[in-house]
Amino acid sequence: MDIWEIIILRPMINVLIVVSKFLFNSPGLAIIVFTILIRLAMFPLTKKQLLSSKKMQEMQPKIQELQKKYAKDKQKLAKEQAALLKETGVTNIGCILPMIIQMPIWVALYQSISRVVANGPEELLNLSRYLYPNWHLVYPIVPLNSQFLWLNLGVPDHLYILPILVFASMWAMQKMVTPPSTDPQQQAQGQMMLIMMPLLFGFMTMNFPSGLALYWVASNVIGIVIQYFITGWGGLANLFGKKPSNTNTPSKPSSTTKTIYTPREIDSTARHIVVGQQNMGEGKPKWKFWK
Amino acid sequence: MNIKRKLFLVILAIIVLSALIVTGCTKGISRGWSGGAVTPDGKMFVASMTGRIIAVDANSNAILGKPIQLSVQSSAGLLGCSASASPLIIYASPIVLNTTDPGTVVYIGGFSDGKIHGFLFKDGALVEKNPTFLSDQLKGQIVGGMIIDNNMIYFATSDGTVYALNSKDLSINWSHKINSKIWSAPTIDGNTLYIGCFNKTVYALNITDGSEKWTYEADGAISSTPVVNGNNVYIGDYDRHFYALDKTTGNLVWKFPAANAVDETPRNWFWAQPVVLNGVIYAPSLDGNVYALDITNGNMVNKYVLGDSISSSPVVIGSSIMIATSVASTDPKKQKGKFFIIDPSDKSHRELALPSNEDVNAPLFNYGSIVYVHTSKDNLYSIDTSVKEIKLTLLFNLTTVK
Repeated sequence: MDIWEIIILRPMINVLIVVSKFLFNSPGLAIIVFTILIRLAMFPLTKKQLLSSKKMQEMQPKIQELQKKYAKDKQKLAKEQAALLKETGVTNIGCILPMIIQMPIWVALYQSISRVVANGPEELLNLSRYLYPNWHLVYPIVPLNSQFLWLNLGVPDHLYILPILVFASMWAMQKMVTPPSTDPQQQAQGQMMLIMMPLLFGFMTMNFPSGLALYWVASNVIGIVIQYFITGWGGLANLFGKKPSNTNTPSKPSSTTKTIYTPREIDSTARHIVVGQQNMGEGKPKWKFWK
Repeated sequence: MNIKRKLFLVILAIIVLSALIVTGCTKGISRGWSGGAVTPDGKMFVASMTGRIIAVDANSNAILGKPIQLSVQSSAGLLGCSASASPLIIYASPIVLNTTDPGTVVYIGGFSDGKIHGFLFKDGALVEKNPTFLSDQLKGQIVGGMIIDNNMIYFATSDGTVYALNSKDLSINWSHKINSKIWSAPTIDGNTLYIGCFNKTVYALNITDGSEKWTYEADGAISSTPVVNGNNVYIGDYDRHFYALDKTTGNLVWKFPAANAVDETPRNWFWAQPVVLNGVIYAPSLDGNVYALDITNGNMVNKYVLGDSISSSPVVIGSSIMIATSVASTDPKKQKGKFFIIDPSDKSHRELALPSNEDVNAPLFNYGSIVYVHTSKDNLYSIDTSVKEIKLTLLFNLTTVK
């Protein structure tokens, strides 16, 4: 057993089995609850990542402005961009690092679920390697009952309900974070990603054990909830007929609108003014807030 | 369209297409691990991990006739990748019925098609299956082995049904629905069939009509095949207990480890079938130990520490026990099974390492003093235990042998 299995995978598998023990011996419920618990444990990192991404999105008009302004002077452009990033406190690493830190946890969760819902003899034998000999609780309940609602968690969902749910939830989650772009090229790329990735995962779900699909759906749904509380409905706001006013969606700068970036902390708990837009034409400051 | 955008679209299209093709054609990791059967006159029948049925002369190690390829048609999938036939996955060891008419018949139980296939062995070769030798009324995958008794074939399927089929035409004589996954092979003693299930229960069924005689609820799921010796049925479970039950009433005779000896608790499941030798039952565990228990009271006589998981059922040759281990990993690079000879007379064991990285999950089988080992690389080894210098000899690779 390698270090990854000892430190990450094995504990996760055993905890997942124990959780299912206390949830009516249902691995389906265990997958949902465990995914929520992991999502909550990762919340500080997720929040940091979402806020950084949001800041980065909102800087796009300014960056585009700079790109236009210094189109012929790459050196100057780089210098100005760096200055802008420094001014607003946003770093590329701030967006990527929390995601990188979370990646192993998600990979481990994915691997744990695929092992716990073992369907064939080889898979079940493989699962036996990961059980803690001193955790007497896990032995009477393995192999777990793989039935959950209409699903056999060890095989794909033949009714194709989960693939549709995976597609829909992933699309919604991506839609929330995809910024509207004034650049038609970027807009086309964004639209393509918005459709292609959920489509890809939906298709993969048709061939993967439904236990994994359940994990994707649960993870996406809790992701949508977290995103809503951190950044609002984002791109989904239009679908609900709401103005994306609380989402800080950057609007196309008008001749009378000047975008300014003022990181300012209001209190030490959660409420920040990170980026503000001031409509110079009306002369009234319109600050955007989020928790 | 600028170059950057074109590149983005090309890369995206490649990623999406690759993922669709790979996941669209992805099958489970089940490969099977069938053992073999040898007739008294030395005709050996083995099933490969690629769905091939091979007849061998065990006296000369010559292949008899041509291997027969069994396939299963997958249901249609997207992108057309699942439209082709794939090799039949086989876990159940072949069984052989010698009759005057039609002669020697070999039966194979399929995992991926849930069917029993029958083959005639005629004029020194296996003959293509006759339509009357193919069951098509079963619903579940077959993992545990089959057993023949009085021209009836008994086995269970993963959907939780125990079947009795007429060997002549494979028609169903009776079936008994249990509603639990069954990977155990049945054992027959007298008029009773014994089998263990994932619902933690041992069933004793009347072999004439499939009616229940008694049931016993264990502490964990059961996939091991029971053994009957004397008045008792012996079986192990996933909760790491080993039981002796009264074969007539199903009452518990003893349980290992006893309540006052929990420190003897094995560290993993009982999976392989145990064997009995000279008043001692040898129960292999996935914790890498063979627990030698006094058959009368379940007291531990000895513990043979072999190291790796034991999922392959052992065989008894003379006064020794032949047993093989596996690392139980699905990663072929991590597999490193071994072969052991346990000598209970001096409580010793000898190790014979397999020449390459391969596990042994298939049950061992023998022809006289020769033991056969079917490995995870689909190699078939023979070990002549009657000679002084015992060694593993590679006979064939069952995937490639002509």
